[in-house]
Amino acid sequence: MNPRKTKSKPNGDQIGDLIRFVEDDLSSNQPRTPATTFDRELTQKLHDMVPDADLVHLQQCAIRRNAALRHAREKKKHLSHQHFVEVRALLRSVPAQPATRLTILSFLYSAEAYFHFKFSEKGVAERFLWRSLKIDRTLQDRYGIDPIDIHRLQTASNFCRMWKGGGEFKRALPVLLDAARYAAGNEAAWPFPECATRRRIGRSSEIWRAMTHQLLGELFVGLAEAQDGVEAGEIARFVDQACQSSDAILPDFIRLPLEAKRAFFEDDPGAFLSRARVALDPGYAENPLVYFLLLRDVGVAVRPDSPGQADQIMTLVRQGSGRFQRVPAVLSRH
Amino acid sequence: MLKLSRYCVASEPFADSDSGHIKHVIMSGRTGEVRVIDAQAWDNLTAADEGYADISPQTRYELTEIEALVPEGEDELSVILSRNEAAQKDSRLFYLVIQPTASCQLGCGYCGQEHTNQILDTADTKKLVDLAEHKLSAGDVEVFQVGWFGAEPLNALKKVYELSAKFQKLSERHGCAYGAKVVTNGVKLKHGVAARLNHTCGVKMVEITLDGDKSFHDKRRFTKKQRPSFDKIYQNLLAVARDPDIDFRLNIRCNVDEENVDGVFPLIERLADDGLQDRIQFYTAPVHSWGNDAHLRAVEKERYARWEVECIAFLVNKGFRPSIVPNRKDVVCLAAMDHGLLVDAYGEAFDCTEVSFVPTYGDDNIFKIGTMKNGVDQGARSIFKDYAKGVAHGEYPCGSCEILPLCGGSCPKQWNEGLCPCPPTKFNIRERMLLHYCASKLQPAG
Repeated sequence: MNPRKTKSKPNGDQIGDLIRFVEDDLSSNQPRTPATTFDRELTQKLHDMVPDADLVHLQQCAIRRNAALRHAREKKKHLSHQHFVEVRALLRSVPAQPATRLTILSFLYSAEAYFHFKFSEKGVAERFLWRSLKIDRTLQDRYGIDPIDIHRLQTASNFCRMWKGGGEFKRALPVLLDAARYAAGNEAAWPFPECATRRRIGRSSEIWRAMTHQLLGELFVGLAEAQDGVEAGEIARFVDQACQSSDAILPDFIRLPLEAKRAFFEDDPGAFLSRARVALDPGYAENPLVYFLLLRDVGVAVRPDSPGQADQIMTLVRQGSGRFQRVPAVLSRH
Repeated sequence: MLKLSRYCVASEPFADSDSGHIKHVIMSGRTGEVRVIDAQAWDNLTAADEGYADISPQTRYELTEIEALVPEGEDELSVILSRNEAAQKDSRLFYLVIQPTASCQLGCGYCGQEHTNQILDTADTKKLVDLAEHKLSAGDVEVFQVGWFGAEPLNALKKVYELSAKFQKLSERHGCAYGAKVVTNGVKLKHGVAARLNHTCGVKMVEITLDGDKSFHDKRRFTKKQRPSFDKIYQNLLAVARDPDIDFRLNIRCNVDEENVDGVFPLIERLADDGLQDRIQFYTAPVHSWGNDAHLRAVEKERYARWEVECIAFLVNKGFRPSIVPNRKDVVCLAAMDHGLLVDAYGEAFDCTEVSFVPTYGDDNIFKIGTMKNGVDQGARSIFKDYAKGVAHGEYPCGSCEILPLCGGSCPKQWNEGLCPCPPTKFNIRERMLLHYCASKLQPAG
């Protein structure tokens, strides 16, 4: 990519060392699961502030909303719509505290956004995601429901999935990076300033770290999806800028894989291998998706000089991918 | 707040030997989910008018999730009918039932069909393939399923082979999954025929009718020349069932009325003695009107329902795995499918499987919705629409029946004809639920 730089060839011992490290890592580590969940935190918060009847109401709406989502995923448009109608009817007919109603409404808009996205009404989907974001801002600023911040990030992620689905990588990837930085504790990085909150909250718990890794994983999936496409050059520049930007003080677990990715885009296999080895060092358990996507890049980068070792690496990627409940499409393409 | 769903059914209480507690099995008809609940919790539920304060949050959540508890103000009938309608619209199945011939070797007394040697002719065959092509090319079909139905479909085997090949090609071209089932009397289901149906015609299920053990079966399912048929059919069944290379599902249907009810258990014993427990699904069905008076000799419904439970228990004891509790049924039959159609050997089209070849419905069949020659009038599909309207307007008792979500209303045509097609499940659902629980406690053999 960068004509000024001289290519360095990967060293066979270096590759062998990396393969041994990955084999050992995969056999001895499991991915972490957060001790607490967003659902639990949100429910606890609401439990402290709304009557029991409201919690029952929330549950009923959540159950129907989830059924609506399940049907949408199965492409059952009318059944999905019917369940959304039932949630709306519940909302109208049951009196509840404003915070309860707004919580139900925010999640409902997110789910309906998915419905419209699934059935090719992207304009409506985007509008509904905005509504959800705005309601979440109210829930956080006016009602102090801080766990909803996770839902805001999930909405940011949903925007990006929608944009990526439409091939708008240049729009999606910066938002994912900013969302990951925000989740990692950088308030200023919130990707939708028009919907920023006034409240400042601590983001040190395990749940935030899990969210950061989820967003980082989605960013790396997006990079992998775009790196062979028509926007590859621009994507490479985006990664380069992300690594260089002085206002982006990145924690190591974001910076190291991004720097490795930059080296990959610079088409310098030797340098990339060194960077990748550093980025993979925390191990598979840290962020399995980023780990295997980087490993896949290593396989691609070393193939011209060491095809046998490239095959070994791709075998490890395949084995590792089997650990995912749903293997991301980009990871199953070698 | 919440209320107990009108479609939540509970069994009689029973003493659970594991825990020593008195319990009920409950079934939420809205989702088809079955649970076991402590009698005390059930008593609280049925007595509750205080917002279910005495029920633990966990139990409340679980019951809400399976829709045994529902929002207090919800019009449940309206929700069920709306969901059924939505499911019908969402169906991406094109279900084409074909009666390739009007002929049948058997002359069963309860059959309402008029049999002739008519076979679907070349012109209608071509039109039928065109119709399928048109359906699949519209792009909203994911699964193309063909039902070979009679009279006796295997009396027109060449037609079945010819059309199967064409349909499979069509499906492949349009990216649809293809599958077929055959409903047959079994007389011509020789091993070679079964193998070909399975391996080259996409047949995934075959249903054979046996009306009891030999002596009972032969008294009612004899040939038109009054010859017995049991031995031939049973030999075919054994040959097919014992070939591991033939992997379609095998259903044995047993039509039951006063005449043969005593012959069913001996048949089950025979099937069990022949080791077919893992190979076949056995079920019974009460004889009903097929545009005739067959229902008049049916076993009285509640007695049949009691007998049916005994029969299911007998099947379980013999090592079979019968379907014990029904699933949620949102699309009740062909009549309720937007993409469902029956085409008979005369090239006539219907939205019901029980009206073609039936002389009672006139020379120019009153249920006909088109022909292959002149096209099918989708607007003429009225059997299910008339029924659904009737339920919504309270004209049929289904609107207040606790098992409506499970039976889907049963046969809409019979309701429209003034008959009452309520399935036995209406009368034995509670016993079935207990049996389901007992069966779940049995250790698998071996």
